[in-house]
Amino acid sequence: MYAIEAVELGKRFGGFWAVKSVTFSIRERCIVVLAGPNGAGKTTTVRMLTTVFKPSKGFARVMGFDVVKEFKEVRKRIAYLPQDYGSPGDITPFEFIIYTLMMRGFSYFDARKEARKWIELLGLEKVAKNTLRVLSGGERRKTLVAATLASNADVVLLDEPTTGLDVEARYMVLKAIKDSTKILGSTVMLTTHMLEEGQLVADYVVFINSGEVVARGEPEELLVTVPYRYRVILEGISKKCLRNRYIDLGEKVITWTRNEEEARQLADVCRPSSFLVRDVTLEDVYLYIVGEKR
Amino acid sequence: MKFLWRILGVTLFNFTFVKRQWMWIAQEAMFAISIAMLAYGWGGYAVIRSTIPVYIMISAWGFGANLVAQTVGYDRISREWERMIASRLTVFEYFIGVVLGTTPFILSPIAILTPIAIALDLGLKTIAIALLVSPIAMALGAFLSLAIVLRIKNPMNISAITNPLVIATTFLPPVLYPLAILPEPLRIASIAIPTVALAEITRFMSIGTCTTSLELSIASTAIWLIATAIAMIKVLRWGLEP
Repeated sequence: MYAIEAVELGKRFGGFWAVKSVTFSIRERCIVVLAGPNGAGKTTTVRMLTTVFKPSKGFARVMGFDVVKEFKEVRKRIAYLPQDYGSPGDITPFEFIIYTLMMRGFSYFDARKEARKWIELLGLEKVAKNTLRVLSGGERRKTLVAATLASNADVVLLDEPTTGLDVEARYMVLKAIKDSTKILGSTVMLTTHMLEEGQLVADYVVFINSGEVVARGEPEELLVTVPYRYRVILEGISKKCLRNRYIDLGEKVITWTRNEEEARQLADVCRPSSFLVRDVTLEDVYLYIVGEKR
Repeated sequence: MKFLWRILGVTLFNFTFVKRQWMWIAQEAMFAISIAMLAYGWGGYAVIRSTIPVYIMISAWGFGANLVAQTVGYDRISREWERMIASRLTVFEYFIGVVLGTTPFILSPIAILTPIAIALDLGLKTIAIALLVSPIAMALGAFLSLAIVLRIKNPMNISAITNPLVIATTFLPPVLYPLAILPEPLRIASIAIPTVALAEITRFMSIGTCTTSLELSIASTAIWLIATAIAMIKVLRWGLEP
C-alpha cells in the first residue's frame, strides 16, 4: 500500500486548471519533497490530498483511502500545516501545541507530555511561555511545525515549512522531520523551494510545473537524468563563449558541464574573473527541467 | 470521550484570546452598565425593567452575529480552517468550541445586569427569560452573519461587515426603545426585523407586555431562523470545496 497515491489528479477554478494532471505514488515512512516554481500547483495538490479541495478530475488516496469518498478516514490519518498559516498572536508555543493536539483528540495530559517533548526537540524551551506575537518568525514557524509533527499522524503534509527560518533553524526543522519518520513512522510530504536542503532529507522528489509532474524519483535517480555532472559559476565573462545552457545573473552566469575537463576548457575559453565548480544538486535538476533555458 | 477533548481543544484555543485581551470583556461590562444607567435616567423603573432582559438577549445576538462570525472569518483567512479540516475535528465540534471559548464576552453583561435586576426588585424571572431567548438570538445572529461572511470570496476585514450589521439591527430599529413610538403601519412592518421580533418576545415573556401580536413575532423569528440556517448551510463547507 502506498501512503499517498495520486492518479491524473486535477483541479479547475472556473476555466483555469491550477493542477492539470498529477500522478505519483509515495511509499510509507518516507519523506517526499514536492518542488516547483510559484504557481506550479504544489499547494493546490496538497489541498486536494488534505481534503480541503475536491479534485476536478482523477483521484487520490491517502493510506489507501479515497480523498473524496472516504474523506473522514483520510482526515483521521493526516496532519497539515498550510502555507502562510496566520498563527494567532495571543498564545504561547506550549499552549499552541497542547490545544492543537487536543483538537485532534489527544487528552490534555497526553497533549502536555507531547508538547514538552517537541518544545525540547525544536529548541523552543526558552520561549515556550512567551506569546507567539513576541517571537521571531523562525520561532513561530518552529512552533507550528512542532504542533503538526507532534500529532503522530500517519501522513504529515507541510506546505513550505522552512519559510522564514534562518539556516540553523531550518536544519533543526529538517532534523525533526527526519526524526518523525524514523521514530513515529510517519510519511512526510513537504513543499519547498530550498532544494539543497530538501536533498538532505528527501527519499523521493516530485517536480511539478504548470500543474503537471515534470519529473519524479529518488534524488539519486533524478541527479542522473540531467546530462551534466558539474555546476559552474563564472564571473565577468562574455556570454558568447558559453556552449551549454546557462542562467544569466548579470555579473555572474551559472552553466553546467559534463565533466571536469569540459569545465577547465570553459575557463580557458571564457577567461572569467572568478570561477567555481561543484557537483550538480537537485537544484540543478530543478533548473534544468523547469528553469530558465538558453 | 475524544470528541470532548476536541471541543475543549477548540475552546481553550479561542479562550487564550479572551485570557490575554481581557480589556474587551471590561468594555462589554462598561457598555452594559451604561445602558442600564441610560435606561433608568431616561425612563426610570418602567424602562429599565424591559431594557435589562432585552439587552441581555441583544448581547447574545451581537455575540453570534459579530464575534462568532468574526472568529470563523478569521479562521478562514488565517487558514486555521484548513489545519482543522485535515483532522478528526467535525464542523459541529468546531462551532461548539468557538462559542464556548468566546463565552466570557456574553457572560459579562449577564453578570453586570443580574445584580442590578435584583437590586431593582425586577425578579430573577426577568433574567431567566432573557437567558432562555438568548440562545435563539445567538444562533440567529450567527446564522445571518455567517450566511453573509461565508459568501465573500476574499474576506479581509470581517468586522467591517459584522459591526455595521450589529449596529443596524440593535440600535437603529425599535429594540432598546419602545416599538410604540413608531407610527402604526411601521410597527407591524418592523416585526420583519429579527431583533425587533426577538425583543417583542423577550418583553412579553419577562414583563408581560408587547406592542404587536406575539404570534407575529414568533412567526417572524421562526422564518428568519429557517431562512438564515438554509442560507448558511448552503455556503458552509468543511473541506472538499468544489
